[in-house]
Amino acid sequence: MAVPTVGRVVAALVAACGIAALVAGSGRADAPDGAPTASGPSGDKPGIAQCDATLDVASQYGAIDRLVVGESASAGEVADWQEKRNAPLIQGVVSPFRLATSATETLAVCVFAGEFSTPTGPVLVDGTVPPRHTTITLIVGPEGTVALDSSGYLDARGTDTPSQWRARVASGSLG
Amino acid sequence: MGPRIGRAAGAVMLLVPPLLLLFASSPSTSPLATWHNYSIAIESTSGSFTGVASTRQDVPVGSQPSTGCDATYFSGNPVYQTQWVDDADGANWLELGTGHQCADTKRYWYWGYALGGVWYPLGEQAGVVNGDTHTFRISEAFNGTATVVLWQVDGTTKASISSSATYVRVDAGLESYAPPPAYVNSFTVSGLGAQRNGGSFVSWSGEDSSSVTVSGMCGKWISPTAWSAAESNPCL
Repeated sequence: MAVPTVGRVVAALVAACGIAALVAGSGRADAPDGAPTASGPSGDKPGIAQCDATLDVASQYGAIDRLVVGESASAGEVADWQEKRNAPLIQGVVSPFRLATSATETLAVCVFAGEFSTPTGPVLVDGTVPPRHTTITLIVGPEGTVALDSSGYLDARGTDTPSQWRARVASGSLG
Repeated sequence: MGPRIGRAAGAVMLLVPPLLLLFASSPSTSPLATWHNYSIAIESTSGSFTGVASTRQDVPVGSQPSTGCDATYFSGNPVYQTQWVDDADGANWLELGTGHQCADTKRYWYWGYALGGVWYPLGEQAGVVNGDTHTFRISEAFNGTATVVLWQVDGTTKASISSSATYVRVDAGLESYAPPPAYVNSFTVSGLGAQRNGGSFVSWSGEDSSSVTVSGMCGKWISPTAWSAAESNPCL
């Protein structure tokens, strides 16, 4: 199985570049609004560290270019975000972190940029293949468990986090 | 801890910058990273779709790369047997399908929605058995207080959310991130049905359109309500 081996090497090298990008971003943690910056990851230092530690698993979703956001959040905050972030269009979502986790347990919300193999919907109306997603958002538990929260695009809502959602709620710009 | 690991990686980068820069600037140069193709049937007559139904086998994926084995779902070089209710702009859809990854040792049903170009999986169920036949249905219903979307396999509801959105197409078939020599033998998605405006399901009206995006994929209509799909194999 030579091809998968080559793929792993590529993934590992690209992952290494992603880690290298973390160096540039390590001094830019704790961005006040939690918004990603072009030059390094935003979020907070514990969150970035936890996301950093999950890079091996994250690289299995595709070719990682860089960490965009590493943000700590309680399980309750993650559940609120997952359940209400798309209201009023989408309601009634039950977050897995609502039921299975202590509300105070600290999780990390990690947004990685790259190219991924998540579902992108059907072929577009004009017959073109939808582009691969360029962001994935992973939820990392204290034991290192990793779950895919969502995937999307850098230029869309693909970098959303609980703190950004709370900011939207506070400003009255929901959805 | 993060910065410490980052510094170590930075040291590696200093040792071999040209190679790393090559992959950093061209992350999609690997064949494994570029293959993304489809074989799907499409129903688009008289829009305002709210549901889609099909019956099909979960079928084996041969020679699939052993990737995505440690991560959770939707990783590695997956193959999705799936169906959608979707918008014209490709940004919003509902989906219910079967995922195969890690040399087809990791198989699962999954369901979720996309809004504004972002895919939100709502759940997965592992333990899918290749060769078994199931019915897959996404539908909209009024539960007495709200309009809800239901994702069902063999009549069992896997998830529900409140949403009254309508869509312009329904589709079903195969989405693959696993390049040849990975293969999927011909299988038929049959009993294709559609729901409009929350009403009763009806058979697809005809062979509206289809999309087979590369010669390595195969797809053909068997009837207005049955689509044959395959990868690296002819359609029977």
